[in-house]
Amino acid sequence: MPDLLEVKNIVLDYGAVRALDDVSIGVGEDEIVAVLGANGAGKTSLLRAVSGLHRPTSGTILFKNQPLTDIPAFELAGRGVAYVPEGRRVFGTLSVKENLMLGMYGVRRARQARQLAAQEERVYSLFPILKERRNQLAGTLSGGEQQMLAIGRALVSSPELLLLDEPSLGLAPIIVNEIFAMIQKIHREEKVAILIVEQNARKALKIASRGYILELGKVVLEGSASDLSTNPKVRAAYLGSAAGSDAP
Amino acid sequence: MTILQEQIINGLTIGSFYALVALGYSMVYGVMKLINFAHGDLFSLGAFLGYTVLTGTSGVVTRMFGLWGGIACTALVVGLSVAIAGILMERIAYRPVYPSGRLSLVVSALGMSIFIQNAIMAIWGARPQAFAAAVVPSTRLTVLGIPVTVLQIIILAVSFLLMAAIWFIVEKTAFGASIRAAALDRETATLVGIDVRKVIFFVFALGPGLGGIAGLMNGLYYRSITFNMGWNYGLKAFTATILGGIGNIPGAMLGGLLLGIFESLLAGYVSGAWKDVFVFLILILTLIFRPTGILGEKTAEKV
Amino acid sequence: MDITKSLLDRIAKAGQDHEHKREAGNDAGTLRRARNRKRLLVVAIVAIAIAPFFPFVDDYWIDIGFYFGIYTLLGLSLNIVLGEVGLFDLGHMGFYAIGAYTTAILNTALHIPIMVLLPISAVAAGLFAWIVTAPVIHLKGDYLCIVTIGIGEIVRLTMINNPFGLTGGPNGINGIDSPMIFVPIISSRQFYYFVWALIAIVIFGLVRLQRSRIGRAWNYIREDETAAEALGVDVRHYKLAAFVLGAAIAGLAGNIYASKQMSISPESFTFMESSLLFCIVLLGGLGSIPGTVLGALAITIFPEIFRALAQYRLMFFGLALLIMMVFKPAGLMPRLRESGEELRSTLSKRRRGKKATLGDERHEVPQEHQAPSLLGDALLELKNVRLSFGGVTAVAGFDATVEAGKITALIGPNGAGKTTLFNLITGIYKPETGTILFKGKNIAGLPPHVIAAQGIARTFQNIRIFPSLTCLENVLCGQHCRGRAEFTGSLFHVPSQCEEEKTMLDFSLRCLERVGLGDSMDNLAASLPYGKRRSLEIARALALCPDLLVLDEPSSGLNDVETEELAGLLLSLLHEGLSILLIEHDMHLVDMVSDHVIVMQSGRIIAEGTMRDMRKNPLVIEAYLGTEED
Repeated sequence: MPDLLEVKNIVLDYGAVRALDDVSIGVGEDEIVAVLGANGAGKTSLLRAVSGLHRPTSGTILFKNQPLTDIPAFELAGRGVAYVPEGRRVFGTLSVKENLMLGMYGVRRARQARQLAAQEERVYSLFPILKERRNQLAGTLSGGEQQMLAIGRALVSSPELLLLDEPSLGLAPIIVNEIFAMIQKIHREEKVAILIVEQNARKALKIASRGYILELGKVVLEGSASDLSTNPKVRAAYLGSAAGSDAP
Repeated sequence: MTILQEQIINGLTIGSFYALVALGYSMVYGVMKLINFAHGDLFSLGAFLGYTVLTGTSGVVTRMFGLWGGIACTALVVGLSVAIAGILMERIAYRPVYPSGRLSLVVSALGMSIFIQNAIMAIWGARPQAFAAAVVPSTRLTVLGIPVTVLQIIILAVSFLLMAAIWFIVEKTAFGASIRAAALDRETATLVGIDVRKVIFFVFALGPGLGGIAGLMNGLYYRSITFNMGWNYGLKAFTATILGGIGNIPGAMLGGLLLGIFESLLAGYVSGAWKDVFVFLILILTLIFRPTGILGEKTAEKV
Repeated sequence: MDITKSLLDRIAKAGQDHEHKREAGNDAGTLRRARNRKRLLVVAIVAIAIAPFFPFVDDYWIDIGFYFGIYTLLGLSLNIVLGEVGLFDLGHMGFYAIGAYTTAILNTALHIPIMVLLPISAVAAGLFAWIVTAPVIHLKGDYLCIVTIGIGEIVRLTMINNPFGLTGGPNGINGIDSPMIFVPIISSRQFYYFVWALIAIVIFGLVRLQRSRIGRAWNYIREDETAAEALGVDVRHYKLAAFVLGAAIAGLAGNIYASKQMSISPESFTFMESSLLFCIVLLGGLGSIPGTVLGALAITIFPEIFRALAQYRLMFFGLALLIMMVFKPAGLMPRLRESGEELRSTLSKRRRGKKATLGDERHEVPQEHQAPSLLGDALLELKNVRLSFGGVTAVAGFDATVEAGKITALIGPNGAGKTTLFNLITGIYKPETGTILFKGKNIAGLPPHVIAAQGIARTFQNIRIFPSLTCLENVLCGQHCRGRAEFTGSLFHVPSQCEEEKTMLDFSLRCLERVGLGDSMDNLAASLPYGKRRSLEIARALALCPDLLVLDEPSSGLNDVETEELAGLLLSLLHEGLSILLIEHDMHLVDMVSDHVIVMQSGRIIAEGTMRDMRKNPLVIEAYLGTEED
């Protein structure tokens, strides 16, 4: 049973609109879990609920068996949950270095000072291009580099769970491949559990061990990634006609 | 020649008031994207609180701590009280309105400005009040052949110290980086672990605190204060903010000082009555020809 | 710009909240609300008409009714600028002052009758607004706000400084005549009816404008200036028009005020008064005419009710503003959007018996588009187009051809300059060198709305719809530049304007149906789910009757199945004769639809040809496609 993150029966409303309706998912310590679904199915809402940006109307979210629902959003980063938002959202007029430094902001001060340099180096070794650009303003980076920086910014806090929201959005195929390879590498080498929300269902299922399908705010299907990618319904609804012929 | 030099010194003094108030505008604008129309009235509040502490207690403070000690104590009291007023203002007027949008915030700020201005009038009266001569230092000096008052020197020194401190905090410390991050993107700032409420708290304490101290110094400098003087200073300071580049801290300082000198020279050599018209013309011309201000960076709009 | 964006987000959010309420109360609720408003209107008219005859209403209260009227007039005039177009104007009293001083100076110096000065004051205020706002009209949000404060202050300070002895300095001007309409207007009651009669005329005109091509153009600008401009709305023209019209109405108010007071002084035109006007519009509800009247009532009545509080009055007034903004942020009476049916019925009132419903009676619609060139001819040609930002070359000497009747795809790594190229084609940027020929004419450097009118319609990477307008109104934006009706036509409902409006409505509805959104025409755009917003954006572009459709990452955020539906739509548009240029990262979509692919890197073309060729091209593989995963 997945034990790192347990989302139990959460309901989330925006005004009169119900975004999540009795959703339960789990992420184990050694897993990449993908959440798939159409636009407006509630994928991003789910991540926002986990990260505390929106309070669920009901239900519980446990992280390492501790409830997250009452913790302010800004404390989450210090507790081991890091979020890479959709559309990257790097701090454009701050330098790459400052962006990475801010990634450690939620971590306890003493630890922060000790580890800042080491963490920075760790990110640079994963993404060497960022080292070259470390004094450049983040807004001047290309889309792919910004995505790397956004992931790097999340990694410096040494999270145990990484939430990735549409990491491939608006990126060139070659960069998308690179980013997905990097996600796998991070998962393997840094021992970080990953919850990924992706429009690109094919790519997401390829790196994930398990997956959930959301439709209109409800989980309609869950299973191992291989089961999902062979499930005829999933193929028809999310993988399109190209699913059979794997070459895109 | 001395007239020119006097005008410049005078302009620098007024400019440092503008600069201190402009800093508050700039910081609040950065984080809230709000022109805090009530900021000028906090400047008045600082002047009136200072008046009460120094003159209203019939000089007790001055007698206890001496002339300069009294002023220093008053500055401390005024800075803290106005900072508290600023924090309360954010709690009461801005935080509850923030979710309903920027236009509502503008109305809220206008409402707050009207409220503070009229509260000052209700407490201290509609007529001008004057700082007692006994509590205001009047020593005159000649520095490099230019006649100045000690008060002018102190005002300039204190302003520069305060501005340098703010610049250091915002540009060079981790906390400063968190302020800049919160100004860019509140939500993402929250996600990396920045407590945005703390940032707002700080900004609304510091900006008004500085404005209050500027108000006190203004009161000491001119001695006469009125309940509605804040509006004019507020508008000038906002002009200074634009002149220097909005959201840019060294820009706010530079803008304030330049505006002060410019205004003082206009009053001295052109016409005192028309100087404000020229100030607003400068504001408009700046926005037409260099909308990012003197030190502001050009940011391309993303389409 | 951040400021504008966050503003629009907020407005969108407010719209969404509003929409939620609407949904909760469903259609019947909206209908009931509209009917309630109608009833309220009748009550209000009767109340205002008979108020002076109540026994307890003395001259003092009639005068308050008069000032309520003045504030209403001023509120309505600011509502055009602030409410309809979303321009922060905190110096509106300056225009009022120009009107009042024009009347005062010309009347006292030259003894021109007040009624003759009424239109003259309006023209003077409008002209002044045009002169002072034309150089600054491009400024956005808070910057414009600060400039208007500056303008207001400059006017007031100038009046105080008594230039050429004209304005009488701080004491102002005395001895202004009373107006004559057959009889001299002197008593409080006469002035009361005079001002309210004028308001009735103004409101009648404003309602007509709201429901016309012009009113919609104003709203498009408020919602998203860039999108409005790219879809053919002459943003500068309509913003200036709003300022001029707003100032002219304020000038009318200034004339009446001066003749009623018989004297004016600069004290009446302070920033405080301008901020009161701002509050009137916000209290009432942005863009809402009944709201503005209600806001003016609140502002006039408040000091009277709290007269006992004397000097604390304004203090409480400040607090009251705060409380209002906390509990009723959308205003007392937010603007309700008209449904397609309502828009339609106002146009054909005269033939009510016939009762044509929207879309029933198909009007002769402008040729969906006139394929001007044959398949394969060059529709768009770029020659040596170059643009750099601060030394960084974004587009470097670009040569390319988009052929008519084909789908051309532009692909390339992030930062290759694709979107910049789109912005060059659609006029958002001007190229440093080079020519862009569209249908054989050079369009390089033309403003976006002119290029749009020539037949290039676009969509945006990060969807830019008009959130708080209905879907139909969104699509009508595309038809905007196909219309001709200006102010006179819209005000007097001349037959050609009515016909034109009907045609626009019909055609827009057809475009909505084309993308499968026919049922949602009266829903607010903000209430649409993400995928449908893309469709709405495409419908809006189609409504322009373009020759070339320019799509920036249309599949972004769509899953594979939705992308295939999109491909189907694009192909069917192609068969109808449309040419399409698109930026895409989804090679699946490019595969399905494109006839021709251009690969861009660092502002240059590195390869072009069919997608099949590109897959084999080592340059393209290295720069963009990558070796196949796994």
